[in-house]
Amino acid sequence: MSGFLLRRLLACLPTLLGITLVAFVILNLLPSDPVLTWSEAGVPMSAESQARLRAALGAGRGPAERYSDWLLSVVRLDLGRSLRDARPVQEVIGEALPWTALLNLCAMAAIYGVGLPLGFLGARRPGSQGDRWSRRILLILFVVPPFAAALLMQRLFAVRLGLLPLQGTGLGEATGAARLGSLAEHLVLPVLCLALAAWAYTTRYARALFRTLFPAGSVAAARARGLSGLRLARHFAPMAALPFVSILGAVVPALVAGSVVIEEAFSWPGLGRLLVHAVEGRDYPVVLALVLLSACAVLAGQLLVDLAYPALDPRLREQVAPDGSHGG
Amino acid sequence: MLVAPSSTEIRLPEALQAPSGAHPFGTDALGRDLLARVVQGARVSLEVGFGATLLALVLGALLGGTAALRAGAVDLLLGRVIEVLGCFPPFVLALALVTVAGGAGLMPIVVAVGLGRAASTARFVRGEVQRRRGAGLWIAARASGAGLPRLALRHLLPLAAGPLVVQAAFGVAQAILLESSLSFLGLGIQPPAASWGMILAEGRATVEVAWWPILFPSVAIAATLAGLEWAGSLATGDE
Amino acid sequence: MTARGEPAGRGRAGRRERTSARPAAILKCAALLLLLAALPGCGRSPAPSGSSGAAGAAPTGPVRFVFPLPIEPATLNFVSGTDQSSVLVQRLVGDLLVDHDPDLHVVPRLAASWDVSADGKVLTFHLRPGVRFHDGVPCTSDDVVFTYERIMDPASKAVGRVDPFLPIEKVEAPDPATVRVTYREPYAPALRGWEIPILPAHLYRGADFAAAKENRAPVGTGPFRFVSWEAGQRIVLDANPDYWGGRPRIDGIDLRFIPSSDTALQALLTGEVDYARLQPPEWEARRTDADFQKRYREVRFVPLFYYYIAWRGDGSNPFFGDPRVRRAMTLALDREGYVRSVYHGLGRLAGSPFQGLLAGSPEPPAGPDPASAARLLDEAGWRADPKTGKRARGGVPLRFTLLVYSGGEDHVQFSQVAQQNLKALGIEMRIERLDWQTLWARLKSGRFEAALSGFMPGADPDSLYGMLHSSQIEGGQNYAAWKDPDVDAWLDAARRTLDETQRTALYRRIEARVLERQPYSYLFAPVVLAAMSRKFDGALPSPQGILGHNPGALALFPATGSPASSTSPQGR
Repeated sequence: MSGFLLRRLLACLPTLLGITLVAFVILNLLPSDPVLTWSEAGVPMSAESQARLRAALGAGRGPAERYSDWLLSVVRLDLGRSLRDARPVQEVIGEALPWTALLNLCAMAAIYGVGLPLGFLGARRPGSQGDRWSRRILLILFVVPPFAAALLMQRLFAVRLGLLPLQGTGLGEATGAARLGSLAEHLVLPVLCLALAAWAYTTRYARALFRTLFPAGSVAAARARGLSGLRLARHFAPMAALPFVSILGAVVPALVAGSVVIEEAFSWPGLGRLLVHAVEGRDYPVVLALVLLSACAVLAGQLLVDLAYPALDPRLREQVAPDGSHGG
Repeated sequence: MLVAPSSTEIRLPEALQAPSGAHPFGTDALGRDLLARVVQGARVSLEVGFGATLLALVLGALLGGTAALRAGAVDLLLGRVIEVLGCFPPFVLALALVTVAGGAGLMPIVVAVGLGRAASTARFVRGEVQRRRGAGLWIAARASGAGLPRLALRHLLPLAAGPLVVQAAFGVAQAILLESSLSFLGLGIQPPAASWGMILAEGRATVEVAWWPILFPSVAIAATLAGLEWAGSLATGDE
Repeated sequence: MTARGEPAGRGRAGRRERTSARPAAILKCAALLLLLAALPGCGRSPAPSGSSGAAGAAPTGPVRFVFPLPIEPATLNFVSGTDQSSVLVQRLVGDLLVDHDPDLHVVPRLAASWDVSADGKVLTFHLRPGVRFHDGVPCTSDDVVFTYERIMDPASKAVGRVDPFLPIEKVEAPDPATVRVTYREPYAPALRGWEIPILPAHLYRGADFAAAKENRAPVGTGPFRFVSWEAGQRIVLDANPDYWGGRPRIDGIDLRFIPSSDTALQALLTGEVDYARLQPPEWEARRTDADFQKRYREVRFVPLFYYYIAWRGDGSNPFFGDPRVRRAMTLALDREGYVRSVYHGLGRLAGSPFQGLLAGSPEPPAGPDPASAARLLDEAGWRADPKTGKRARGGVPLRFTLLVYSGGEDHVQFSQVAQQNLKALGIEMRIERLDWQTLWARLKSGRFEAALSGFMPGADPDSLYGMLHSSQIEGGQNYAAWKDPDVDAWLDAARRTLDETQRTALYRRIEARVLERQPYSYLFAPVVLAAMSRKFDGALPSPQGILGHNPGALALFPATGSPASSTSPQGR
């Protein structure tokens, strides 16, 4: 097992290398001018002052050199300094990371908390009223684009009803223990928006998967065999865990990508916003570090999936009918 | 009912009019008939959605299927390629493609969105194929000596078709949503062409006073996705 | 203990009925949900305790003004921080050597007075006595000289502030209260160049200028002290009770980072901020809302800004080297219609590059004049094909690409209006949206036919030098590549003359020539409309907003009860 793990981890290295290389190439293809980092657009600026700045920044080293320099410093755990304000990239990212992590973890909890039980119920009682209605509602929620949902929910809950705060993280507005409550309040709408679109997909996928894992009547059959309560749950638990694990691989990148729009709409100071501004400002060190970070997160998620599948699979194979049919 | 192109003419004095007899969907900020814009946007959004999903499906199925079937070194290499595709933030990729090939119409967006989705499709296909590789039917079929591609087509595809169609339906939706996010960030198609995402983005600034530029494209997207969902459920025999 | 239903059987039987009902049900539910939230509501939420006090009650706790910033500053270093958010914080925490009042006239600030030598080359500032930095250290001429040196040091990357200092020969500090600046030649815009916040030399000397901690926690001599910068959220400033100009009448300012203007508006409605910009349609809707008018007062000003189109006239394209074609373009564009419809009339046409800078600039024509435009194009040889209506000359069709900045709503919208205007004349214009870096690269290198952009002139007409002088074509801002030796001479002469009448006459001549030749089409500027909570009063609008001048934030006071401090701000 540890050998497998080690090999799997080593396999990630070329991927990370590949990603940073692609990102670097892309960033170098895009036109960029350091003068823009240090000046405001549309303000009078003479040719002389621009020339002075370019001279001061010196002749650039070749892209290959810059990439290898960057790689070497990453190995030393030094991610460089932001081109915008000369702060260490670690610091810049470190400020934004906890916010994105908090938001996405809550969103994942919300996604699984609704998607899996509904999927399970749907698999057990397909065609029931509860199943049909839950899927209709989820579909409606699914089809509303995230930023439209954000706008509408802000209008409805914050402006018209005054129930929830509009934007921000809420930490600056309360003191002491009340800060936790304020933070929780501020999390509700962004988490909802992030989870909305994923619910329908998660429920549907979980439902389909559960149905293949629990062919019709298998629960009843298990009960008939005398299993009940906790033992029943434990009997089915590994299979119940499977969708959780396999959806992870899809949900994580979706959250990472979806964060950008939600963070914009709710002024949430996370990595999504940071990435957009860094790309616009061609802040290479920050962009490369963020790409690396998001790649690591996605890879970690996939590693989890790859580890869990074989662990859960042998039991899965046991439950499948001998003729190999899955009823999908 | 075909809407004539001149209906998307800019008429500044008629800006932001509420839905009425003359303009069933109202007008946008430049006075263009919103119904005509939404119809126009349908073409673009669907082209991008289906084009990108098709690209993602073909590429993803090829990558994932080959990786799972060939196993070994090929699996390792392709696995890495899939990972690189999947871990790359679509925003950065889209910005790059649109900047480098800016005037080329829809193609950069289709490619950017398609590549972004290809990885999840590839992973899904790879997972499904791996799962079924251990199944009895598959082993028996292999033992019968049939070639890999034919086996894949005859045995795996029908089994995987259901979930794949679900994936595709979801994929088109994701593609449309991704395209609208990119339009939102100013990276989409060139004006005055419209996609639903772009109409939404344009309507954002005036959401307080005009709900129709937000509502109708959203309903259009919703209807499309509902339709896809229905098609998906038909195909899988699911409900 | 039967199996729970037959999934296959039941499902299929019921499916037909359900699937026909489903799309309809979905659409109905979706529409309802969206409409519910989208309709303009009559419900108003009570303002939560974001800012203290409701209008009418005496303020109990500290009264803080909460102001939204769309962009978080990159750095608060007085010299290298040039984005608008950073500059705003700098003039609150730091003191400018000289400042300008709401009418953009230069007024004393840190410098109590100044005089110019007879030959016009030496400018001497007399600093105000008894001014201290927030850490108690006195501010002297040494700090002024240090600030100048940092600006001129290329390593500080202060490119936005260097221009007015290029003609300086030397800066001296003969005594702690005097700064003497010697220019190589008389330089008319000299004084405005000194609108810079003064750095605390004792904190920066010997430290790494780019990475000093003061860049995140600035220390200055200004009316507000820096308290904290919560990354991604806000910057908190407290009133400086020892300010030489008198303690501010509000107790502090919170600058919140709110990237989108509609979020800022909604934050205003819930009481989380005290100021927000309004788009014209929103303004129209709120004007008749009595409740809104009761809670907020209107702030309105015309910013020093306009949109323009640069026509590349260096011969790289066959169209825009001819002034007749350029004039035809300006005549064809429906600027007035755009202002009337999209801005609801709340905008100002830009008739000349010196709009707002020179009194008595000619008024732009009332509306587009396609007939004259057509006549000019015919004269220039671009005739319309009788069958297709498209214009061409010698087999070359009149077809070009306009570059616009994709992130600017007005940029994108107006370009589409322009496209339609020109189509009516038989001209084919393609629009290419680019992100800012790419657009900048194309502008710089001149690889474009036409480009739409915005410009913020400074308060002095000399700020148009970069756009109009031929020396600024290579690597500068003369994007139209316009070469006119007369205008070059006039621009240089106006820069060297300190006599106001002469300068005005020279700029008039330049203006007339620009309008005749139209290297650029000057479009329009939106009027900035904002709503400010009636909890505060005293805001003085100016082309730089309510905080971007002297007295700026010092003029604000809580609208109810007595002001926190009765000392009126000095320093006029």
